[in-house]
Amino acid sequence: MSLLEVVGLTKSFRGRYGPLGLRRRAIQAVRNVSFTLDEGQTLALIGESGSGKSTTARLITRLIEPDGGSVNFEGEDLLEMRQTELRRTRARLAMVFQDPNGSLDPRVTIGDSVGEPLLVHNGLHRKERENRVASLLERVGLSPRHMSRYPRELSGGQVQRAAIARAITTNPKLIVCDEPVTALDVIIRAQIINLLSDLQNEFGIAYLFISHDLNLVRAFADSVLVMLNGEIVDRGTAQQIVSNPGHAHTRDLLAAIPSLVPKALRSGGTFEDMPTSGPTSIPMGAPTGLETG
Amino acid sequence: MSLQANPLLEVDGLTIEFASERGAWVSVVENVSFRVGRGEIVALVGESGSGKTVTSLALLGLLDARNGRVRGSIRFDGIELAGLKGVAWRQIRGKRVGMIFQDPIEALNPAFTVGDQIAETIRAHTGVNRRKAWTHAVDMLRRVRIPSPDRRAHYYPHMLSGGMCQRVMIAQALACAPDLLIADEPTTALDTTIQAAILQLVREIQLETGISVLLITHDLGVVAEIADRVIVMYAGQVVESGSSADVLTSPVHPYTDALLGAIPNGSTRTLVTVPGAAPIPGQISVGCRFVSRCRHALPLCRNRDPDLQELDKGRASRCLRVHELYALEASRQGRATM
Repeated sequence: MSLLEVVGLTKSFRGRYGPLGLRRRAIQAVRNVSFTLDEGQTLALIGESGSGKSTTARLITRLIEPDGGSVNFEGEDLLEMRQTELRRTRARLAMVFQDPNGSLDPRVTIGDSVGEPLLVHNGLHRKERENRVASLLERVGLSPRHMSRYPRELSGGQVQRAAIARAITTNPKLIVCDEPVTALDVIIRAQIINLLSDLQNEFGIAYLFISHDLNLVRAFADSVLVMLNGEIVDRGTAQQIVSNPGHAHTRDLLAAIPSLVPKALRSGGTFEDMPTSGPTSIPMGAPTGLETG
Repeated sequence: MSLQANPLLEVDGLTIEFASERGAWVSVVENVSFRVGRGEIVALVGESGSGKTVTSLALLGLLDARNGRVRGSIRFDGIELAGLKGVAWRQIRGKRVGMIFQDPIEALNPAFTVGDQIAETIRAHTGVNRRKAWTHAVDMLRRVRIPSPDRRAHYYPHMLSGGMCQRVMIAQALACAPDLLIADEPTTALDTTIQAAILQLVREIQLETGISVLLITHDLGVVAEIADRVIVMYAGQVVESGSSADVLTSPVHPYTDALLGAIPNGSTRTLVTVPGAAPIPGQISVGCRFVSRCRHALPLCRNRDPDLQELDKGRASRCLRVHELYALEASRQGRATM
C-alpha cells in the first residue's frame, strides 16, 4: 500500500475579472490530479507559476479544502477527517514552505517554534522538550544556542533549517516541501538539499517536493510529475522525464535549464538549445488580459 | 580586466560603508575595481550579502547619503560619477545608464499604463512632445518583442505577467538609448522558461545596439548563457575575475569552485557543497574571508589578507594558493582534452 494516494483532486477558485473586478468566473486551479507516493520516496511536482502545484500541496495537507477527489494517507482518507483527527494525523504529515521567514512566528523564539509540535502532540515536560529541541537543532546543523534566538536574528538558510527541525519534530512519515530552497543562495540551497537527503536516509521520510526547477530535482527525486494549467501532463521516474520527456512542456522546461557551458565554448548558436519564447498557455478561465511571455 | 584601452565604465577602489547602530562604519564593499568595456556583457556574481547589489546602486548614485558613504572612483565614459550632485546625475541616470530590477511588477507604477510610464521617461530626458514620446514608447515595446504593442501600451502593469513586465522594464530602460544597462537579478523572480526568453532578448538587444551590460546575478547558469566576462564577489571583495569561458570551466578561486559544485548537474544525488555561510560585515577579521569554508586552506591563510593576483588572459584571483590551483586546473584541462 502506498503511503499517500491522491485520486481525482480538484479545486476551482472564484476569480474576479473585468475592469473593476466585478465579473466573476471559476478558475480551475487543480484538475483531476492523481498520484501515489511510497514510503521513503521523493516525488517531485514540477511546474511554473500558476500551474497549480502549490495549490495541490495545500489541498493534500488540507490547508485549503478541495472541491472533489480523495487523499488517502496511511490508509485513511484525509478529506473525510474531522478537525481533531486531522490534527492528530498532522504529527505524521509535516510541511516546509518557501519563505522561511514567513513560516516561523517572528515573535516566538526558534526553540519554542521547534518545540511547539511536541507540546501539541506529545505533551512532553519542559526539560524533556528542551533536550529534544536541542538535539533536533543539532541534527539540522544549528546549535542549541539558537534556541533563544528569534527568526530575524538568523540568516535565511538558518531559519529554513529551523523550519525543517520543526517539521521532523514529531517523526513524520511525509513532509510536503513547497519550494523549500527557492529563496536561498546556491551554496545554502545545496546544503539544505543534502540535509533533506540525509534525513530521508536516516528516518525514511517521504517527500512531496514542489519546485519550478527541474534541474534541482532530477537527481534528488525518485519520480517526477509535471503540471501545466492545473493538470498533470507528464509523469515518470526522474530518469525517464529527463531522457525521454513525454510532453512538449517537459521539453520546454528541460531546454530552459541554463547550461554551465559558457556560450563561447558551445557549438552552434548561442540560443539554439533554448525555446524561442516562453509558453503562452495560461490557466483556463484565468482573468482576461493576463498574458505570459 | 577588459582589454579595451578606453572602457565605458571604470570602477577603481570602490569602498562602501554603512553606519552601524553603535555609530561605527562597517564596510560592505571593500576596494572593488573592475571595468566594463564597450559592447561587453559583464556579470557581477555573488550570494546575498556579497555586496553586488550595493555596488550597482552606488554606480547609479542611489545609495542613501545619510547612513552610507562611498569612496573610490567611478568613471563612466570619462566622467567621474563619485560625488556627482542631483542635477548632474539626471544627465546620466535613466539617460546614459538604464537600470532594471529583480521584481518588474514592483518596479512599475501600478497607477499608470506601461505606455505612459515609458513615455514619461522619454519626455523627462529629451523634452519631445507627448505624441512623439508615446509613438516612441510603442516602438520600444515592439523592440522588446511584445506582441501588439499599440494595444499593450494601454495596459496597466497588473494586466501583464512577470515576464511581460520585465520586457516593459527593459523597454523603459532602453528608451533613451543608454550606453550602459545595469540589470540587477533581472530573471530571478521569473520561471525558467521565461528567464531563457528574457536572457535571449538582452543578448539580441546587445547585438542590435552595441550597448554594454552590467548584469548582477547569483546564478552561474545565467552567466554562462550571456556574459562575456565575470567578476565573482564574496563578502564585499572581488575574489575572481576573467572571461566566462575561463572562469566557468577552470575556476582559480576555491569559492568559485564551490559555487559551481553546488549547482545540480543531474549526475549525483548529493551535491558538492562547502560548510557554513559567508561572514557578516563588521565581523570580519584578518585573513582570507573564505578560509573557514575552504578545503584548500593553509594555516597561513588565516593570518594574511590575500591580494587580488593578476594572471594571464586578464584573469585574477584572490587566493594565496592561486598558482597551485592554476597548475591543478591546467593539468585537469590537459587530461580532459587528451
